[in-house]
Amino acid sequence: MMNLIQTITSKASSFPLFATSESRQSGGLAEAKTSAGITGISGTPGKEKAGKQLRMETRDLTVHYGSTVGVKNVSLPIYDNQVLALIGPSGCGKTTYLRALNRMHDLTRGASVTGSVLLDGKNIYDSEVNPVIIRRRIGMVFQKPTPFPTMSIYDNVVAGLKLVGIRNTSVLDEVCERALRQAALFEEVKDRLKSPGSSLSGGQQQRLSIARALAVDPEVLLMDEPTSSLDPQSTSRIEDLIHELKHQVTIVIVTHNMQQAARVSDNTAFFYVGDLIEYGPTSTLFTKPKETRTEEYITGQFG
Amino acid sequence: MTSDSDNPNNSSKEVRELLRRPPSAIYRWLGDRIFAVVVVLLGMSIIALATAMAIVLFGEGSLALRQFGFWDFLRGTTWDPAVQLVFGALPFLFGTVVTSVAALLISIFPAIAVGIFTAEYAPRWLSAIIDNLIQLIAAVPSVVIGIWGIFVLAPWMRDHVYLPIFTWAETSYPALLPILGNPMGYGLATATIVLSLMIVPYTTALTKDAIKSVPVAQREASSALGATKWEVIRMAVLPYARGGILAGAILSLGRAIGETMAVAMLIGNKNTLPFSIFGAGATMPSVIVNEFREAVESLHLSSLMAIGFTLFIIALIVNLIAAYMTRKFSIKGGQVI
Repeated sequence: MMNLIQTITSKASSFPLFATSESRQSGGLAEAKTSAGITGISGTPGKEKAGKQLRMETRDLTVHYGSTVGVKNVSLPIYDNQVLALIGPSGCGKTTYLRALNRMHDLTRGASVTGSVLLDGKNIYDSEVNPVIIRRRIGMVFQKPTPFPTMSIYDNVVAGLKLVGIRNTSVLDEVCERALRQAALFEEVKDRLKSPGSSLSGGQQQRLSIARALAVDPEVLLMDEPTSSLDPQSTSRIEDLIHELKHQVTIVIVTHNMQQAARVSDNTAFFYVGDLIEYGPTSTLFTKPKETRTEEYITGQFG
Repeated sequence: MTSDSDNPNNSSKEVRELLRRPPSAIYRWLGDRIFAVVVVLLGMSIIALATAMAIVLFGEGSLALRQFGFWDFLRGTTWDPAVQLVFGALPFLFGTVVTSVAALLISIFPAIAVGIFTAEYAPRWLSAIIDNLIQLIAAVPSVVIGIWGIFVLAPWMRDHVYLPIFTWAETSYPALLPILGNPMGYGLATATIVLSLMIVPYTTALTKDAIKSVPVAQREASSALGATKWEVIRMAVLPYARGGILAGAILSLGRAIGETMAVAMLIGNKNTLPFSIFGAGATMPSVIVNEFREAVESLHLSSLMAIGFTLFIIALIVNLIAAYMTRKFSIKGGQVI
């Protein structure tokens, strides 16, 4: 399949993975190709939404681990109610970049961040900004589902609310149901909210983790390869969920899986060895990459 | 494979031949078997040893146990090796339970706190120093700690704690005096304090190990919800580590029950109830170590053996409880996928 792609001159029509996402949204491969072709000017990301708004932005973001560089000088816009996918081979810095967006590097010994990350125009690395508040506004879902094993499903979902001292059960009940519905888990667990979170299946646990992140009503949701430990069925449920969720939150997703990036994202950034190589609307990046390394990666020549 | 075809020299051929050659029949037949037999024998010998100890203790103590009956021996309050030759173990059972449980209660929270501090808060160099110091406490022979207790701790406690409290009680609450007891410095309170110091390393080490084994993902998940450092510890770390912490506490309790020398040196050694807080008392190990040399009557010696047997049973029960609690409260697998 990948060899075939190289031989055909027009990459757009030959990229079969891309078709699945676009056919879901716009009804067909041909249409997807043309729309990508028309608006696919690199540097003007986000193809459908007209009045798209900047929610976050990184400027010259560099992360060091001790003396090694994780990512260097990455400047990227993150648009409101859109999904940004970060792709690239292992060790390219995409996860490092993601973790800089909600100051998770603060927790790692030896990690240092320079440059700025703006959330609604304010640098979250300013000294007067409390990282705890930032992490409530910018939620995160991890590679592996991380339910708290001693807590029930219910307690897992409302854990973030209890942290800020909300004890009112009717409020907690309401938020719990809302978050579980957002994570498309409510129907499956509504009769056993008191059973342990770890009793769920892997896919359910990951949706529980998403519900827990959504319960604190974040403005941005960071997802670090959220489906890499899940089976295909659970993966597609989570991808559907991302389509739903982007109307409410801005999503940044790291993925190893290029089909996934193509299916769920509006914009894609390609990282390679700590550098941002290319950024653009997903359709453009996958069909008319400007950089050879991007092309080589998305056509499966390395990575 | 490529190097083989690129470079067909003799040594690589030799290696290849060795790799392909089946092991000799005798090796195949004996190798695994010898190892299995050795392992099984060594493993079984532990079981045999433990059983033999129990049998010997029970056998030697059977004279006393038959004379008084097991339950009456445990319930008996009189321990008179000189005149009546009546032996009841209750004072020592009581002393052991009170000192070890009190020592556990005193030490558990500071010990857990030290574990949390070294695992989560201290910079690496400081945590290494603290670890070594704590291991040192565990490594100091208990007779040395006993000497320190006799010459330093007991006089200090007497002058700065027991006497002030005693004189205060004398004027304000005379009713308390019998409970407080003689503030001479050697008694239950001093023994308990020394015990609590001696068991700190066990709780701390297991707490630290348990905390270190909490997956990073759990910590990050709670951080990502906006938890502060303390909240991460409370929400993700301690619940996950509770099995290990509990195991450490129970192991410490076992240590406290069995501790002999330091307790015998500091507890004052009094064989009759009632014990008082500052006053002298005795524990099961302390009475054994104090009396076995002068036990000329066979019933006396047998009674000491019966106490030893009881200690053995208690240790067994404590270990079983520890195993059960650890299994019940440990997080199995954590993430079920």
